[in-house]
Amino acid sequence: MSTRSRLAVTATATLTLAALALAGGCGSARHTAVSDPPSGLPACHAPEAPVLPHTAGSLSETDSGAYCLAAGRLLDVFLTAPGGSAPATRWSRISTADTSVVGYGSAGVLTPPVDVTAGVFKAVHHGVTTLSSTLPNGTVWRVTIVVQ
Amino acid sequence: MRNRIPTGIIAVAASTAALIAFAAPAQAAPATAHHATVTANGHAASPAFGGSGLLSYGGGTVVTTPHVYIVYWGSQWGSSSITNDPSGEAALQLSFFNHAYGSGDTYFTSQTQYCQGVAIGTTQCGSSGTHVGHPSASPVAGTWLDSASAAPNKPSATQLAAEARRGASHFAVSGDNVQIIVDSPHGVVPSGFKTQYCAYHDLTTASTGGDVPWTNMPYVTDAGAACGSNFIPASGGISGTTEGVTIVGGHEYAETLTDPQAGSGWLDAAGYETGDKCAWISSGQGASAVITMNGANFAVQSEFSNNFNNGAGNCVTFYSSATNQH
Repeated sequence: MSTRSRLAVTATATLTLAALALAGGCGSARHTAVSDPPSGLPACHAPEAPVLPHTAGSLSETDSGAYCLAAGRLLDVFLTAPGGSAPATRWSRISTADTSVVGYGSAGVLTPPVDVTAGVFKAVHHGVTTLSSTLPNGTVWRVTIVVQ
Repeated sequence: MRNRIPTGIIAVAASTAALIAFAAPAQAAPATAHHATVTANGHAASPAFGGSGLLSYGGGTVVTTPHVYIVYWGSQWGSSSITNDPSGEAALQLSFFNHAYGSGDTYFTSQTQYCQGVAIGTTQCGSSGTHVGHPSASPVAGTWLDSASAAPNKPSATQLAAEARRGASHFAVSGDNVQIIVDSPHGVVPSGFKTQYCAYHDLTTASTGGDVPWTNMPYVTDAGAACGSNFIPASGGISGTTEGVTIVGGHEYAETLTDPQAGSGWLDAAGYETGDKCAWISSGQGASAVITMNGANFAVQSEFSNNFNNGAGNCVTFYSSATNQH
């Protein structure tokens, strides 16, 4: 996986779905390809190349915005706690807001590094939902997933 | 069936015939068996177990008679024997699995409560189904130093799976009771290692068409503290530097026992397997610890036990029975 620029993840990253739609699905700078999904779904970017077998893409804590995922495909997510955090500081379990659109895949296949929270998600049905996680200090990470 | 090539410094004495799995749940070890020594460490308190709720059965298989095959991938390990292993990972890993058997192992016994052949969604097998096996002798059935060529500096998941298939072909084995562990040598960094994962297990298909459960096991000490070095205060003669070798190795082994097809065995509602729910717990119930298996000490993380506390579930490093675990 390419080196990702570290972006400050703050509570301001908790964009609402509506705001994302208005902004045209503004993802992190490293993602340049924007697709316009059919049937009124918001524009979205392709995620980074996958890390785990069988997955179609990967996201990290530096990502924000809207990401495309084809129905039936898997997405891996790795959230690394900020450097210099107190020991045992980790992102919470990564949650999907609507399991009928994006469900939980088998994330247990891997042993994550000590400061990493991992998740694997499966695109179940066309639609839009969000993935989110929080740090103990209240910082929220949230992205929108557009299942095409 | 084994075509094992001795690796010089490593001798494997496992006997397939001796690998007899118990059939009953909660294979009780004698109360006098070596007991886990819980060692709290200096890390700040971390939350209780992860994931979401209890593990439940997904309809797939479990490992009923564990057979572990270790592949040392690449000439970087050495040409005819292992000569390049600065942390001593190969010998430690082999010793760990060679001690994981019988009544002297009260660590992996926690996984024998899980089973196959019951209704999807089951959380307590009781005496139903066919349970995860606990071997009566070392589960290690073979080792192979594949030094025909160098392993890539940054192997992909596809390349790692291909090496697992080569291992299965070398040993002429397949099936869900087989676990091929692909050990990458020092300095080789599989894609994602250190930053996204320490190791993972998966399933591939042998050339003969059978299942090949396998584990991508990088040279864990290359990741330092990120993958467990000095996670537990060293005690009992273990080296803090190499704690991650057995912490991560035990995590993946337990997950392969309970979900060899990587997704259809025992998972919770968030997709977590037994090891993930208990990873990197540094204090309180389920804290990583130095345990004793058959007279040797190893650093381990806890694994998840559905039947802890009358079915409430939690992480444990010692399991003698459903009513004697912690």
